[in-house]
Amino acid sequence: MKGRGLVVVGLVSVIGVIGFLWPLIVQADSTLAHNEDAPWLIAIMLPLLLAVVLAELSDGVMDAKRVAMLGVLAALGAVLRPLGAGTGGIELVFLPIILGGRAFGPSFGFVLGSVTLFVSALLTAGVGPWLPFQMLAAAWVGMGAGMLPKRPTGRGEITVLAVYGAVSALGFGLVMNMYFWPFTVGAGTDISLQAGAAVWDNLRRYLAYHTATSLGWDVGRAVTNVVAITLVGRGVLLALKRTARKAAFDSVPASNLATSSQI
Amino acid sequence: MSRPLRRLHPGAWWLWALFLAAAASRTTDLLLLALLVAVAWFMVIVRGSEGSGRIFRIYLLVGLFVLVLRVGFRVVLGGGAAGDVLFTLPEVALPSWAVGIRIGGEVTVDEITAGLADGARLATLIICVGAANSLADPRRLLRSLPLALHSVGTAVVVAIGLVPQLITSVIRVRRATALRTVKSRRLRMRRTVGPVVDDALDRTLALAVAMEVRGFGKPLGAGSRTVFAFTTTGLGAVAIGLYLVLDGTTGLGFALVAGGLAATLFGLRLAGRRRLVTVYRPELWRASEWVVAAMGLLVLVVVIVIGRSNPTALHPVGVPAPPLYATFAVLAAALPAWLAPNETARGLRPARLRPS
Amino acid sequence: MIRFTDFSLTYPEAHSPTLRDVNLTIGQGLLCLVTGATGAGKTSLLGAINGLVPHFTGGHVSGSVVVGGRNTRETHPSEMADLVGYVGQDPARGFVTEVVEYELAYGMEQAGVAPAAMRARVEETLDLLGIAHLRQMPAADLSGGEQQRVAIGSVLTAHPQILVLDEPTSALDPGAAEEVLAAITRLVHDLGLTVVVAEHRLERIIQYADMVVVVSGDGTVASGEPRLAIGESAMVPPVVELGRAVGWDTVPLSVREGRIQAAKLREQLTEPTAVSLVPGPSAVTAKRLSVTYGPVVAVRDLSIDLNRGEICVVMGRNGSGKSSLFWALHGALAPDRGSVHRAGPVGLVPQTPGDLLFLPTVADECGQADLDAGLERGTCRSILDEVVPGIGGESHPRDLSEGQRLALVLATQLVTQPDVVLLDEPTRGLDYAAKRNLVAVLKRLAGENRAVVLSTHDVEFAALAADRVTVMAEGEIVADGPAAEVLTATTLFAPQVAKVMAPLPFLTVPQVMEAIA
Repeated sequence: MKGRGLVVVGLVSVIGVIGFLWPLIVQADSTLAHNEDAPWLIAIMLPLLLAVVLAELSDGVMDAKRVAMLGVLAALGAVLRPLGAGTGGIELVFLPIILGGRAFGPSFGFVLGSVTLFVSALLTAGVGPWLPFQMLAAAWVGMGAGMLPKRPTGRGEITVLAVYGAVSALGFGLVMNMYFWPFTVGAGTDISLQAGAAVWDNLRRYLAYHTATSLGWDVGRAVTNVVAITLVGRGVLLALKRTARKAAFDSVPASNLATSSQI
Repeated sequence: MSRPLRRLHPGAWWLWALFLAAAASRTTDLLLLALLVAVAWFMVIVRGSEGSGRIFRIYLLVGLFVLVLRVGFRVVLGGGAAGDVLFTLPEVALPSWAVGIRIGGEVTVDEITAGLADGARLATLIICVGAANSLADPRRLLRSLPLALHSVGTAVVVAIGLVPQLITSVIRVRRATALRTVKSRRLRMRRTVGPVVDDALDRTLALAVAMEVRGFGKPLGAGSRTVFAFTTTGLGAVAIGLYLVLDGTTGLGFALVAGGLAATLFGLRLAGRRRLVTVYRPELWRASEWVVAAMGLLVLVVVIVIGRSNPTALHPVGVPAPPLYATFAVLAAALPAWLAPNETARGLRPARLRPS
Repeated sequence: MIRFTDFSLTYPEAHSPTLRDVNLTIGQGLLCLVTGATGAGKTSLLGAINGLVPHFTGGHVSGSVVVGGRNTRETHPSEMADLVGYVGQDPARGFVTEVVEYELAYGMEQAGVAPAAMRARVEETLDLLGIAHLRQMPAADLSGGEQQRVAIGSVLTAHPQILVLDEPTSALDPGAAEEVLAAITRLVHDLGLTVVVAEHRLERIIQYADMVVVVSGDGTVASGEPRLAIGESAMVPPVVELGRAVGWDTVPLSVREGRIQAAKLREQLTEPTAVSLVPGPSAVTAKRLSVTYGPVVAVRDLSIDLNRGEICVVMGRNGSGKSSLFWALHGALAPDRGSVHRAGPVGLVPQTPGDLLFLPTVADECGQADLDAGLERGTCRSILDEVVPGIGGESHPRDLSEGQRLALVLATQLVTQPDVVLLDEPTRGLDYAAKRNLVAVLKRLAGENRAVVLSTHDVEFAALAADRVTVMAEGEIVADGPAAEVLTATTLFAPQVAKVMAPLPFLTVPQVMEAIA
């Protein structure tokens, strides 16, 4: 990933982390101690900042091939989303994101994650204040897939990707649930956020909340990812790499087959 | 089919709905919230396009779900507030590390009303955002994006257009699997996924060619360093500012956040200037758009003013009693139904499997 | 206008150059036809005109291509958009927006044209191509011919001076093909555009061409005036074949020229003895079959008997119900009404044969087919070699040519020894040689006492292959009988030889030569 891209992604990630972890950091005397406004504020800012980062990563960097690939993979993700059973069907959406990030790099993976979640939200009525956070979290998943070690190929590659699929599913759930925590529970319950309390205290409450609500689904999501990647990952990756070769995605023409007009 | 006289800028609907949502987040008066939902629903029915109703219904369900969830959590995990006890749930013992958390116990009326209030507020917020999504055609919105996002916006437009085609492709491939019996169960999934993915990737290349030969992706001019500078300083300022706000130093924090936002947006504008792309039928922002946005803003302003002068009016205990001005403002927010130009947009639907 | 100088192209990891030492000049305002066997390099040659080769596809090039003063090596394809308009092989896949009007405007948006000017150009392009009534429609819902014209329109709005079209009429029915050709000739004659078209179905277009470029298998290119350029090549339309075989001085390029030259021949010959159909035992029978998709009726109360040992060609406009009929005959699609009685297994090669292929190599596909049919390894491979020899076992099915992919799918269907073989539009993308090969394969299958049924728009192919022709329209059968009868009944479905020799019912050149002898 180019240096510039890394810087802006890093910055927006820090903002995103603050956005996710604010329940643990917020002090009692902060004006945002009142539960509703903080996620509001960040939810309005984050799309703008995310847009800025996406622009930096794509404008002048992504040519027609990458943009077309982005669109196609996002469309695949959007088609897969309604097939998922629970929690808005996020499970299978990660498949094109992880495989696309692996095939085309962390920068592409980051943009792919955001765009896929955005498109699938538009088409499955999932647009809400949570969307920018989902986009960022999915972007992290895509970026991470692009940062996995390049060397393993074949079975090893699929194993690495499957493990990553499981880890990222659990991570995504943990992180997104942090966002939903004040939303769903609000104040006044035993597992609610308490402003100004010690970090460990709030963390404990959060874990209890997480276990009660989303952990089951997260595990299911992780399992789905592993199964899907193991079953079709190989074929899809090969197809992606073939397409990349056919149209000279890399600046240096790489190996293997030419276009069909050859035969 | 002839085109309607003019269509409202989708951004105007978003502003209207977001103002309503912001107003909703500041009150827990159930009647007022119900009125907001009613206005949003009414607007979708009257001013929405073909697929709007279906999309909006999903948001209504999500809102309802959140409401039930909130109340449910309060009931099951509530910390035992004061008040008349409605009923008592059996308590469940928890392991020692979960100290301070109690499942079950007494359930009071206050708990339930508090849960309802919280949940209703959140549900209304979600429903308002849902109304925005139903009223504003995303494709038209994407054409009004800042130019710096042109590449990403194109990818989104491409993706939206491709989804019906992919669905058709899946149907076609599934039909073709009847032509070859494959005994191995492991390969069954590949039988469908393989051709669909290959088809989609062939499309990628054809699409990329079609885009490039029509001029997409011309090499850009200079100036990316300036853009980068603005973007990074802006992001950095926002990050630091945000942390400060959460930490309690609100003055400096908010200033940094505002300044940082301005810097990043300016950088975005600069980036857009480097690319010479025009829009075919640009969405116009005229008087109607100002009026619609203003109606929404009116509701928010009234609610803020009432909140400042008389906070308890918006957070009634017991019987909901919406303040008069607020009620009028919300009802006025329904005026765009008559004031906005006529919408008859086409909804999303997959291409039929053509008989041939 | 377009000048190739010592241009050579070698794709990465290819064994030999795709194009070799091409020296070619295409002048302004000409209609240039590029032809050659499938895979010879027509698409690469076209791609070199606007820089797709090498910027988009990769590959090593030497020599130069100068188009309108611009060297393609130094110019990115996106910067050539105002000079060269390029339409690829499957225009439906190249639509970026959803609505026709916006698709037309897309190129101008990328060029930064002012909105007012855009409006004017969209209107004039809509009128020029006769698609004004389609402006609000979603591009994906249009017919093939309409989509092709929209695609041409979308590159035309940038006011290029050169138009490059890759096989614009190969997938279209005769009516739509005529419309597209009329649009193209109007562009050449009224607007003075330089148009370069790659085609291997030359019947309709060669008469309009000002120059022909033939790309041969070894990568070299021969160009010139049409009659000279096609020389002794075997890839010629039937009317040229007829001229050569009979020995006329000037080989005719169009039906009109052929008719004029054939006047004496028509007087000399007598009607050939009509071959009547002796129907064999029925292999599949449909009784009062109806297939509907929601409110749309695809097949309407249709009854048909398909017999062993007979090649039946089903023809009709796109949308007349041919595909639905085939799927219902196979059994994969359950009819809404009526019944289908099958004597034995049925094999179907669908319109997009690639839908059945999901393994990474040809050898894997063959192996899987053997496995699933419970036969010994190598059965499918040997069937494949009979159909089309020489397909590398390690090739990826998606990299094969259309004809090779068709052969592979046909082999997987033949493994089950079906009594009925159905082929849905197998002739798309096939050149003359591949079509002749396919005719031989089909005749052999019919000789093995199977019923062979196929649908096609290609009347020349039908003339060569068919014993019986059935014409469908709106889900019903409107004509059904021996090929000679049905194909000569209307001008739309008449092959070139029939039109030249009318009213004598000859369908193919061999038939005429037989009658002379």
